[in-house]
Amino acid sequence: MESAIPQQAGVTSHRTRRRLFALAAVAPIFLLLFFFIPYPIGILLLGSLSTVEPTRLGQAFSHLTFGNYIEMYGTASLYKATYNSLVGCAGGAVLAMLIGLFFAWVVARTDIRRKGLIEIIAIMPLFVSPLIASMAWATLASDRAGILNLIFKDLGLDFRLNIYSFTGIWFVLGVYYAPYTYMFLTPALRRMDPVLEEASAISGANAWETVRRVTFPLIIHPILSAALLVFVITLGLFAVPATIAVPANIHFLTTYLFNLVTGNPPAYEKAASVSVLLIALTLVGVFLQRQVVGRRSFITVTGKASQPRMFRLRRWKPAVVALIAIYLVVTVVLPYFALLLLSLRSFMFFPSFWSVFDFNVLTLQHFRFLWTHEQAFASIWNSLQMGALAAIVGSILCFLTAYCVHRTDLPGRKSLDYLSMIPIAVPGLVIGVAYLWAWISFPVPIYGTIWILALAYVARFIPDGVRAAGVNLLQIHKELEESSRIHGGGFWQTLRRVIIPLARPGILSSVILLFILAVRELGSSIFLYTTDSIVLSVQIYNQWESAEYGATAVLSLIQTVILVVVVIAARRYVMRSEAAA
Amino acid sequence: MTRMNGWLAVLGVIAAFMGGPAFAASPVEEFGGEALIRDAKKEGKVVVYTANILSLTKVMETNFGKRFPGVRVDVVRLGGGALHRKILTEHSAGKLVADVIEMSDRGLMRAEMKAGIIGKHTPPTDAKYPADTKIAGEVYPTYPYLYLIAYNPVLVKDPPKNWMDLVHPRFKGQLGLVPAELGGTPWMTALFQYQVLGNNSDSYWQKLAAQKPRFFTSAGGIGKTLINGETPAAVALDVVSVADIKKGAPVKFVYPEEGVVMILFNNGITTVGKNPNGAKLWQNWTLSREGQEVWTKQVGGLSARTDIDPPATAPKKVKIWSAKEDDYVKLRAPYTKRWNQIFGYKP
Repeated sequence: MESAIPQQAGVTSHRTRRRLFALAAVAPIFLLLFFFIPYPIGILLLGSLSTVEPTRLGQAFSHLTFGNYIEMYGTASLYKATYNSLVGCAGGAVLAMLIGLFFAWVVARTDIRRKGLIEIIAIMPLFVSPLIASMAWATLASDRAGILNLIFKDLGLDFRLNIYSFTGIWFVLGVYYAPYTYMFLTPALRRMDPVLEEASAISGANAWETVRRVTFPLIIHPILSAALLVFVITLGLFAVPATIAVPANIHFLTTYLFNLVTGNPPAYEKAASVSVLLIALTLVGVFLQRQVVGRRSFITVTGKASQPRMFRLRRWKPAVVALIAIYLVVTVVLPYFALLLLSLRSFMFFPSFWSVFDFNVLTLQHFRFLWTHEQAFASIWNSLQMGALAAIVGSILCFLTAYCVHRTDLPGRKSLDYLSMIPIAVPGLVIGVAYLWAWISFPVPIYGTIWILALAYVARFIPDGVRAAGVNLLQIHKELEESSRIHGGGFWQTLRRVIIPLARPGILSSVILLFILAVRELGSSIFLYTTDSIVLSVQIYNQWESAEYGATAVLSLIQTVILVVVVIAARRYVMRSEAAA
Repeated sequence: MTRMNGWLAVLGVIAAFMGGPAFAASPVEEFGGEALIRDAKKEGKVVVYTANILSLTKVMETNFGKRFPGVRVDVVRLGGGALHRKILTEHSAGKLVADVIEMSDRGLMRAEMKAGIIGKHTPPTDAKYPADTKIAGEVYPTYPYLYLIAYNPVLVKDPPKNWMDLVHPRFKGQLGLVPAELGGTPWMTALFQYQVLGNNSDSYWQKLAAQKPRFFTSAGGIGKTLINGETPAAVALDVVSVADIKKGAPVKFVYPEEGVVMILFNNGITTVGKNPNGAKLWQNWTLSREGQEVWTKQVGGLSARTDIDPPATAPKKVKIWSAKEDDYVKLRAPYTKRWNQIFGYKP
């Protein structure tokens, strides 16, 4: 009888070779991620522990101190700001999840018509940056001067909307981050295998019971992932609390940080120490999500071709259409009406509601910005270039990262998942400083060019891209990969010929998402731009900070048009791809 | 350390009555001479890092460009704290490209001087600027801002007449202001309220806090809420609202008898800029009669020069106050903390 040892040795040797090859294949990903995340975050942490700038590491290490932490974490107001942030962002995440789920369901699982139009409506808020959304809603619903409140005042009613409140914060966050949850949930609902639902129907369960006991448990992971992502993203937002919360004397962690960096001297080192708190909260959120989901399987995409089961709306159709119309009015019509007013009026004083339509105060002076500022069109072109670069490079990197996390057994992949979430915990204003500190002295001369901005955008939105790719990959059963391997396909071949085609709609959604986020991104750009690399978002930010709301509105409208055109074209391509798949 | 007087003479306004200087330099002399202009044109540009309001910078830039068509102005604009951070970081990495730096916070400028960033240059108009407004040979006051009272005359029928009137109960819930810790200009205003209105006590702060004012992160934002009625009366920046007044917005100023707070925008050329002649030309021009009259006539601000007329919107007599530099720096941390406690800004 032949000994079994040589066979086992051969198998072990083959597994070891495969493992080493896999490690070698993903090593560049780890290196890139190190450059984008641990390196600048590490510099940020070093900055929080030093009394000098960490651009020269030797100097920084010789001036270490815990003074920043002792001072910051001994202040009661920090904890109050933390509480406000948690409450505000949790409420916003819940509302975003409900709205996104509603739209995803309507588009993916009902027989409603004009789904293309509804999809556009569902993601329209994504085109509006949080800064602009807050500015528009402050114009509409300020308790004393809001345009909507003029209607109540003219009707002699005492009722007033008040955007300067927790309710206002939940509303703006929920409505304008619902597209995130929508974009994560729609592919999951579309790819769902109908067999389980059909079995439920055959067993006598009605539509509601099927949804509650079969469909919903299957999509709980994407729902929680999306809600969690919205929660951690909004934790790092500055614009919404600055515009809506501060007038009500409600302080969030980000406005707390803003106070630190606008002080004299600006205390970026202290702000970095407070950012550690935000990072910790984010990591806790990711850990909780992984614990809640556990080891349950949420496979919905298998090797069998299938169409999702459609629900007939019947008598519910008018109500659904009415809700969609209300959403469109609330998220798009009203805010853009406010933006148009800001862009076309000399000043925003309304003695009564009907004075809103006073054409005597209309002007094009705010549009003059476009032809009196040499950098106006250059900033638009720079934004398009960097948005495209960040979207393409970022999507590739994020997809490969998500693949390593969810589809391999490589050591350290769980740590990679946590690591990829860190950037969104740090507000743009602070992480922009981290990028400045980390990359300004880089041997490759990228500082002062558009490349450093593109890198900042890629780094900034790795969490969004990795989450989007991860949700997409989790829906695909491993049997498809195993089948490829059994037939002799290697790592890259399986990826290229099996996984990527199936994941393509989700990948394209990631590309679109990253493009939008990169074009909209404010905070991390402001430290890195120069006159040669100025982008649209920096122009908007500078105008807003100077309270030039007319010019801010004009630039925001231009930004929206750019994003709408790009997204419509991209979505048409996605839908053609899905139809072909 | 240079000290500024607690009370400055009436700037510009009394000089207007006294008439201009006995011997006025020609414009070219004030710009630095033909040789400098020629050398600046050879360089072709000047890079200005500024914390000034963007639209106001644009006015200056446009007029400079008309006068010197061969010298392009590249502007990098950020808020004071962020700009300071960018400057220091770029400088420490050897990558600072600014030829000129402009910011209102003298403390930050001093830090940049200490870091060896600010170079030496005495403009031809040096003698026109009082000693208390400049660091001779290094930093000069290009754009004065005034913090004063502003109100919406359509909504406020009985306007405040002075600072003490602003704390009358009829204005409760109607006021807007920027918290003291959010920048150099609101801090200086708070210090004025403490030292002058409160007679070196926090009594005025207590009265103002009792008005339950609404907080904003910038003076520009308050300028807009004045117009739309959200805060019909406010402690406001003159240059922000002047632009709106010119457009017909319902805003009026009150120059209180107790005084208005003046914040000087500081201008210094750098030691590392690649366009030294362009830098000198920019500074010389902004400080010249021509440059200062752009500021007063087109922007609507006051000039720190003793021989420039005030803008049409300002009264003939304006009582101006500026802080002692020592007080401005040393009292900031403890006083803003006290301010926060009194106003309930951040528990």
